[in-house]
Amino acid sequence: MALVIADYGRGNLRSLVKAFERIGVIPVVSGDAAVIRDADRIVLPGVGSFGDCMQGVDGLRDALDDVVLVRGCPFLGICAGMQVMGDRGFENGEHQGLGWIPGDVKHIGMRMGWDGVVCGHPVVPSGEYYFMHSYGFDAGDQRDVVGFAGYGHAVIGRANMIGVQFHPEKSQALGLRVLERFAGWTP
Amino acid sequence: MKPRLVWQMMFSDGVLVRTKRFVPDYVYTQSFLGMESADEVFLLDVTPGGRSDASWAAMERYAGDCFVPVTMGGHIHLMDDVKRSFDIGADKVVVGRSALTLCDGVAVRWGCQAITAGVDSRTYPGRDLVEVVKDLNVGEILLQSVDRDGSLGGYDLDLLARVLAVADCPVVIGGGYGGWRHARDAIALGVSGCAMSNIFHLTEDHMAMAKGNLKMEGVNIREAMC
Repeated sequence: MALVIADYGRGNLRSLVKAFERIGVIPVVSGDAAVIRDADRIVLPGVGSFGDCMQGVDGLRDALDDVVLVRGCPFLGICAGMQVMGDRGFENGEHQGLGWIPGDVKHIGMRMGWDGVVCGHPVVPSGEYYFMHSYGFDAGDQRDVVGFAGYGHAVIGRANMIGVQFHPEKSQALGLRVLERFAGWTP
Repeated sequence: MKPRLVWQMMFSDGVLVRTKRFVPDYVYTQSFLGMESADEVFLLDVTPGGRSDASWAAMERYAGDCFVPVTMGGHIHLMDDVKRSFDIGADKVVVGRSALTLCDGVAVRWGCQAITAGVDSRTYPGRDLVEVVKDLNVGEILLQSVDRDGSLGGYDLDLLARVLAVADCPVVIGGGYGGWRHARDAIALGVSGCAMSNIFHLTEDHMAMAKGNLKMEGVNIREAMC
């Protein structure tokens, strides 16, 4: 079962890889569209801005649409990787996202630390997770909001897709549980 | 958001040390009770005279087992130092005076939340610390009181208040933590995190106990893990 972490050359994937290894999953890390197309499930990490993420993801877009929208494989977006699931992001200008879940990403001020999330999704237990972001997802359809933190829409999801604003790989035991649940998730 | 209790470890030539005014002081053997309860970890190289390979190796070892954010720093002046930190497992870097030159470059490659500006009274000689921090494009500020480091006598709350009044980003205070009441007082001013270091070398007052006390006072802090 190939769990692929999409590597588009930005940010630091080491924590995420280490976290999967800790729960006994050896992820494939690749920026190759062919490898992504062949995945059984995809994790899209993200650091930096919406625009940075989309710049890297743009070349993988067809492969991602194929795996996620056509084949319906499970998809987990993390931080900026969650934000680009939306329509538009407004950091450093306006940028187009993947458009998978209606919503825009707007400035909310720098948030750095732990916050409580209330979530009813099988992949994400309610509890405390670590957030590092200054932009937040504003979902267009309330049905796509599966988890809330005090500031807003912390977890979005629809069908085989789920996106978390926080960093499960930096949220100790509960975060590892999210990764474990995603690795075994049958949507 | 919940204020963070940050475990700050100082390394000198690869050895975990207690410090006084950020100068390596004693070496202690200690247990790491309560490490799970730390909300975040800072690993700083305070080797006198500059970066130490042994410290890099030690920090890589400590980061390897850590599933809360790890911030690495000490003697970071070049992008190569930044890159090496991320390569060995840092989630963020803390940079002193070179933050002015490095912050934009770090922001482009890893995002501005990946760089913390480390600020103390010596960082910008001749300039008002409070004026400088206003313009930094960083994820957060680590404000350290050099004079109080190792004293266990409490944080410099006056300096903290002045910085909080102008900072756009979260502020973590360090230097002088000696007990949970010091965290309580800093949190009451609006600090985002309290860094503590030497306390763990000298007393049994560890993270979980501090959190228990803070919770009893009604401070909204993350649960202790034991």
